[in-house]
Amino acid sequence: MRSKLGLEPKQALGLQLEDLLTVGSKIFYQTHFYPMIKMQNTAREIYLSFKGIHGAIPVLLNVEVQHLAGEIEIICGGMEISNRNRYEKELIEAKKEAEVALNENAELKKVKNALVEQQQILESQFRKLKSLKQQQQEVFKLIAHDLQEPLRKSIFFSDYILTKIKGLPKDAMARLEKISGFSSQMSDMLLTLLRYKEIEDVTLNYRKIDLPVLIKNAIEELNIQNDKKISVTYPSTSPEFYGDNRMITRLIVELLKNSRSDKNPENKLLTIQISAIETLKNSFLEVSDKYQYDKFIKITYVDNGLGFRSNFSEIIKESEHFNKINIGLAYCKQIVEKHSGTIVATSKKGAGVNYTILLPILDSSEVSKP
Amino acid sequence: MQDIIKRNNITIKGKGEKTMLFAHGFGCDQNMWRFITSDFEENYKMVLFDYVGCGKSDLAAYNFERYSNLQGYAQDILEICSALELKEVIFVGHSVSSMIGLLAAIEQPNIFSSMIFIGPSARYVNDSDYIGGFSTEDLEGLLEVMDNNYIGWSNFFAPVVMKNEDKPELTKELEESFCSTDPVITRRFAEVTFFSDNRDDLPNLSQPCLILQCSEDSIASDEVGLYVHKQIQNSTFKKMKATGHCPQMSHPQETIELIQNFLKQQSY
Repeated sequence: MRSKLGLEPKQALGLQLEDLLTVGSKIFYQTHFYPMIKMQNTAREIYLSFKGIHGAIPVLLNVEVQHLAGEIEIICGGMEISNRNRYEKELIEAKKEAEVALNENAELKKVKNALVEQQQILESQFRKLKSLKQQQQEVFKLIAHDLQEPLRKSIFFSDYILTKIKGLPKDAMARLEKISGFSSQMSDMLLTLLRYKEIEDVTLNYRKIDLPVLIKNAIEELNIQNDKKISVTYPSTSPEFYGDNRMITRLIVELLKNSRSDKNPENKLLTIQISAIETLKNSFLEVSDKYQYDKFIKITYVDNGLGFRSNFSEIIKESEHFNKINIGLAYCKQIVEKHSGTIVATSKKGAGVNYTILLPILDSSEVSKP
Repeated sequence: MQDIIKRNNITIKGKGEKTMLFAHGFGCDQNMWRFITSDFEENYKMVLFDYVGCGKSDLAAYNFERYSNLQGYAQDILEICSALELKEVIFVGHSVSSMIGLLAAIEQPNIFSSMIFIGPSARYVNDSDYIGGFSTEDLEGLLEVMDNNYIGWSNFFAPVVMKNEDKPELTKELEESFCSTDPVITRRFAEVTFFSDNRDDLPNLSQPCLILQCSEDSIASDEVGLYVHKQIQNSTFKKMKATGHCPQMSHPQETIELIQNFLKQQSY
């Protein structure tokens, strides 16, 4: 052994065991071997590699430390295992390969189990969603037909009484007119609600939009173009953008309807001003720390109506709040969001509302995509 | 809190108020402190633990990604401090735990009052303008020695994910064997330790710091220890008479005295 290590008897004296080891074994000696002996006074079958003159010499060591009356006796026995080590190295290699395969297999199993679990969750969620959707459809069918019918009838009978029966007392007639009025309002709301629902499934039909023409059509749809008490101003030209013409028209109609029903009786004239400019905005509306600037059209809509009674921005944020005005606004919000845009509104009581609508200006290439 | 105590096999002893947190190095567990802790029992509250994957920690808590960097081990320390609501901690780290403690103290400086590093090294592998003491081949040699030593109980060499549930006798054997853990985890800890590089982190430590440098330390040489000392502003360097890499075991009395002297100088 000594000759293999290249040591003369004199040289060997005073050397530490550590000094005879390869660097890797030295680290193992310091981090494992030494603590082990220190703690349990014994170490068995420890593999260490010695620095030989013709390369590393693998050795298996047993060490026993005995404390005898103030003296410490260290008994150390070693055995060179070069041949055995070659065989063991092969074993280790094979074992490592098996280990990798086993590990990968375990990983695969884990992933597979996770997948199956996810599929089950997905399945149950899909089922829930499906039944929810069916329920919703039932409800909307009810709104569309079954609720409309009695309303239609009460409008019809009110009108019938008003026109056919003569000599009704004046206050009775006034009340009948109110019944008829309320019923039409309700019928209108139901219609908006229905449209609100329908837009979920609508695929937008992108076309180039001429905003002035579109606004003009919306005004005509409401038949207010000749109304002396309403003045709507809008630009004669506007930046070009793409959108669903029918939907954007509905959006303007809803806003006009809201302005009309919320006009301030103190003002002789209801004024509505619509303007549009092109602007750059960050497309990442929800993701923070992400930026990509794109072109948007900014439509500003201002009226001098009553303004909103409650915090309007809140209403528009939470489109779940359904009441007379909110259904229309929720509908507007949905149209805008369907176009990947935003709508915000500010309002002061008695001073009218101010909507700002941002819609992305897509170019024709983006629009032609299905 | 119970989870962390069990996970990291936490032991709390001592009658004092100030907390000393002892972090063991690679290759061993909290037992390595046993020769010096009794001297601090009177004046300190001592917290000892095993890193996840070492000693009697919960091996099931080992996560390969988390512990593929010393940062993961630093999280163990921070989680222990948070679970036990430790404050003004005197951190005592041996070997690689010095850098683990450094990372923890940089992340949450308010928890630690002072740091004691025994045989620290910010990088083990030589670099173009830095002598860490080892070549990559040297460290591959270590991994080989480890492989050969684990062959005894590694006829199974079960990956961590298998957890040996079907082989209770092996688990028992592991438990009875001192400083033993899952060989796969230990091998991984060796890689993470010896291929780490925390040189850039050193200047970010703000706490007063004691560096205990052994003589003839084949793992962390004088140069390596002096480098750590030079880079940490508020550090004291003490060259020990103790030889080797584990003075808390080989020369406990000198280690205790140096730590106590350092703590006396800290004003709190």
